[in-house]
Amino acid sequence: MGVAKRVKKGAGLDAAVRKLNAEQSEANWESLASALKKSGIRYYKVAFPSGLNGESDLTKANIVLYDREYAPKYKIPVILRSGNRIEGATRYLIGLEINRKAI
Amino acid sequence: MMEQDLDKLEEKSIFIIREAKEKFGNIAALWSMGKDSTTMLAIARKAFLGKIPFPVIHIDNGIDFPESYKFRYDLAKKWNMDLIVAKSEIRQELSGFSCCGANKTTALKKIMAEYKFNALIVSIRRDEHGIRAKERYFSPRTKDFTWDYKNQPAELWNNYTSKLDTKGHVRIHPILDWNEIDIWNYIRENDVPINPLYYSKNGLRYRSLGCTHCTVALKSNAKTVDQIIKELEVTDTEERSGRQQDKEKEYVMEKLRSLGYM
Repeated sequence: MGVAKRVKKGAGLDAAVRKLNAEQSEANWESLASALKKSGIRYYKVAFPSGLNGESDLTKANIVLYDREYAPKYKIPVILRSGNRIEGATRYLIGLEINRKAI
Repeated sequence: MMEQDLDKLEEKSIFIIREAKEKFGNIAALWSMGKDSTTMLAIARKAFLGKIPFPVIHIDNGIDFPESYKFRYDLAKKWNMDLIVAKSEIRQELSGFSCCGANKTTALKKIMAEYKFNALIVSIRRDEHGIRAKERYFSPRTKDFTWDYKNQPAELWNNYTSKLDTKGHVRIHPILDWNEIDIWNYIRENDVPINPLYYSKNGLRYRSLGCTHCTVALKSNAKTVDQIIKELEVTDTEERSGRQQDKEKEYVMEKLRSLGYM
C-alpha cells in the first residue's frame, strides 16, 4: 500500500502564484482560479503604482490577495497575455470580495 | 422578460440622438464601458455614418475593473472616440451612496462646467429601477444638477423639450424604453463589442457592471451572448441585484438621481 503524501495547505496556491508571476497565460490564470477555491484567500485589491494614464500602466499594476483576516498573502499581476494581446484578468478572481479597508 | 421589435427601438433611439445633436450645440455622452452605454455608442455610430460626433466621457474613480480599463483603451481607439476621462477622487472606505454621490457626480459637475456641455446623453433604461422609470427622453436638470422628478415635461407625439434652465443642462436618454434582453439581442445582431466581465467564470458573472467596490457577481453559467439571452428569458433575479448602492437604503437611487447621479 502506498503512503499518502501530506501536502501543505496553500502549496497548490503557492505554485500557481509563482507560475502566474512568471507567465500570465490563460492556463496559469485557470490554475490560479482553481487553486483559489481551496485556499483561505477571501479578498483582493487592485493597485496601480504608476497610475492609470495609458494601456501600458495595466502591465505595471498588481493585485494583492488577502485572507479572511485581511492579511496580505500574495501579489499577482492584473493582466492576461495572449500572443501580443493583453487584457485584464480579474474575472479569474470572481467570487472573492474586494478589500475596501484602507490598508 | 418581453422582447421588443429591435428595428423600431433602434429607429427611435437614432431619432433621439440626432434630435439631441441638432437641438443642443454642445453635447457629450457618458460611457461606463458597460453593455448599455456601449450599445448606445454603437447606435450613435449608425446614426452618424460610422462616427461618434461628440465627446465621450468616462467618469473614472480609479477603481474600475482592469478589464473595463482595457476595454476602454481598445474601443476608444477602434471607434476613434473623442474620449474625456474625468477623474474623481475616491476614499477607500466609502461605498454605495456615499461614494457615488460624493465622487462620481462631483466629477461630472466639474467636467460639465469645464466644457460647458448643455446636453448629456446617458444610457439609462426604465426597466432597471423604479426611479429611472420616471424619466423622460429629454430630461431637464437645473444648474445645481438637481432633477425635479415630480414636475417633468410631457413628451406627447414625439415632441421633446429643448427648453432648459439657462445655466442647467438636459439629459438625453435614447435607450429609455429598451429592456435588458433587447440590449443583448442588439449586441448579438450587431456584433457590438462587450466587456468580457459579463461572461461567466466559476459559475458567476456580472450582470450589471459598476466599479470594483460596488459590484457583486451573481450566479450564472452563461459564457456567450446566446447563453445570456437564454438565461434572461427565464430569470426572476433583478438585473441590478449585484449593485451595492441599490441595496443600501430604500430610496437611495431616488436621492442620488435627484442630486444629479446617472
